[in-house]
Amino acid sequence: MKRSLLPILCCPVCKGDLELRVARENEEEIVEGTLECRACNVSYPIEEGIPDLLPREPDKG
Amino acid sequence: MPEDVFERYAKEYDHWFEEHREEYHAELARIRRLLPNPDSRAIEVGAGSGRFAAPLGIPLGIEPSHSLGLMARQRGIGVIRGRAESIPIRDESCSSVLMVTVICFLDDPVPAFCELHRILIPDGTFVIGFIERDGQIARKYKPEEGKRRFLSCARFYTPEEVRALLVKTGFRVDCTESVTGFCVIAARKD
Repeated sequence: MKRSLLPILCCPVCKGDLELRVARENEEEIVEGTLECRACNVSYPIEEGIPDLLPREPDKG
Repeated sequence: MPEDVFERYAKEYDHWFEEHREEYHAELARIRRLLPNPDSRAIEVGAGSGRFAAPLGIPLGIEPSHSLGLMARQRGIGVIRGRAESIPIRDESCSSVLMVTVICFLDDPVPAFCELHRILIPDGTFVIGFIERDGQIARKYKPEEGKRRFLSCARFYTPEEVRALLVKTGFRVDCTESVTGFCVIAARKD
């Protein structure tokens, strides 16, 4: 996922802001990490360069 | 949507386009006529393995299947895993939206069309390609094993039904092209 994509991304459920946490990044893109929606208390993973923004249940704990 | 089928049989899905090159290229050419110049803010919703977005120059795709998304990435498409009914894109971020052979897999097209309307800029273009109910293609693929795997749970629509859904969700229809049971409609956000 290219960083340039970030400004147009939002939570699929509440359409609010997402907070990016990068675990692995190369010269071109973010390969692994998370996009967190604080309003929904959901963490969406970025895996193999693909942000997984399928709607999901809130994180527990 | 039968996501498990696309996840499980991603290679078979993608291979269909190799086995049916003539048909694929005919569909591609018809879509290109109605969506001639997608820009950097164009998106395909239900991008699959990138067989349409890549040759059309659409830089970004929404796709629920991770396996198909990886194939689309290999074709140079930026991929977001997501659903048409709850698109993770901000309002009025996209200049045009393409959706090909997706409507038949939606439980209800209305929430999806509302989301497409939301992400489009004012006067933005929505091009939809779909297999017509009782059309030549729907009849042809019923007995064919490969395509049947994917289409067995599909619900097909007539062009009139799709036009009515578009109007209901805030689009105005510019153009309808129906050939051999595959219909392409271009609409604009009203």
